[in-house]
Amino acid sequence: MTLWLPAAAHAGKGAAEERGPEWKQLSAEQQHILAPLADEWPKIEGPRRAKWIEIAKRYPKMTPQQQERLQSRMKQWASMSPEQRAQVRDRYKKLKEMPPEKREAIHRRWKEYDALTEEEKKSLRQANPPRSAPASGKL
Amino acid sequence: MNERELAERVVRKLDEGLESLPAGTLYRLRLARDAAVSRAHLGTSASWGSPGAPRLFGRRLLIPVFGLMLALSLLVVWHQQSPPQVDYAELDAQVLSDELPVTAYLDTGFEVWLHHHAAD
Repeated sequence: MTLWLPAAAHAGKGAAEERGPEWKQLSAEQQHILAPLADEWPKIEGPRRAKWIEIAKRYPKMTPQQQERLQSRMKQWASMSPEQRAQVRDRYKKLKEMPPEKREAIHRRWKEYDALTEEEKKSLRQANPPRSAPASGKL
Repeated sequence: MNERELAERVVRKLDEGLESLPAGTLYRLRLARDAAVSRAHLGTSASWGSPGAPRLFGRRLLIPVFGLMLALSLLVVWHQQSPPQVDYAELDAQVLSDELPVTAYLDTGFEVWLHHHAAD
């Protein structure tokens, strides 16, 4: 009887509202913060646009270093698959649950790994990844 | 003899039988007929629910059912207007501004590197 209501209401919202604000509709500050996404914006669907606008609200409270990291990773993050983003979120949450010294150890290992040559990294990538699930000390 | 003629003969015979019934029996039959007609009228006026049931019974059932369906519809609309993507804003802001880059979480080479140094 009333089950058609959500569909009708949903359809009634209009395509423009569904897609979220267009790039031109963002404020100057939002455009500045989300500048790395300017080219991608038309391809980003409505709910994800809303999420980026929420992230932009948090930007002013970040340190300059955090702001720089955020902006430098936006484009890459937007181009990743939903599965990859889910995997990163999951591993990030596990990392946050670790004791500070273990988190520090992982950060140190990353710096070591990042300093390796591309050949060395390639060799490691071709090696069999560990079978066990990421545990403490591992991602 | 066609069908109509047969029916007329049956009715005539029944009428003849009625005339021979005692007055008391005829009176009781009339009372029973009146009661049946009254019930039939009640049944047609109460269109919701079973025949003869008061109309209010149907409304009592309809109002909560309608309310429940309306509540479910509003819940679905609210859910559609609050997509879960927005819930990721805080987490994504943290992930993207963290010291460890996003690539570290997806790099299988780093995973192997950590595994090799797990015992250190």
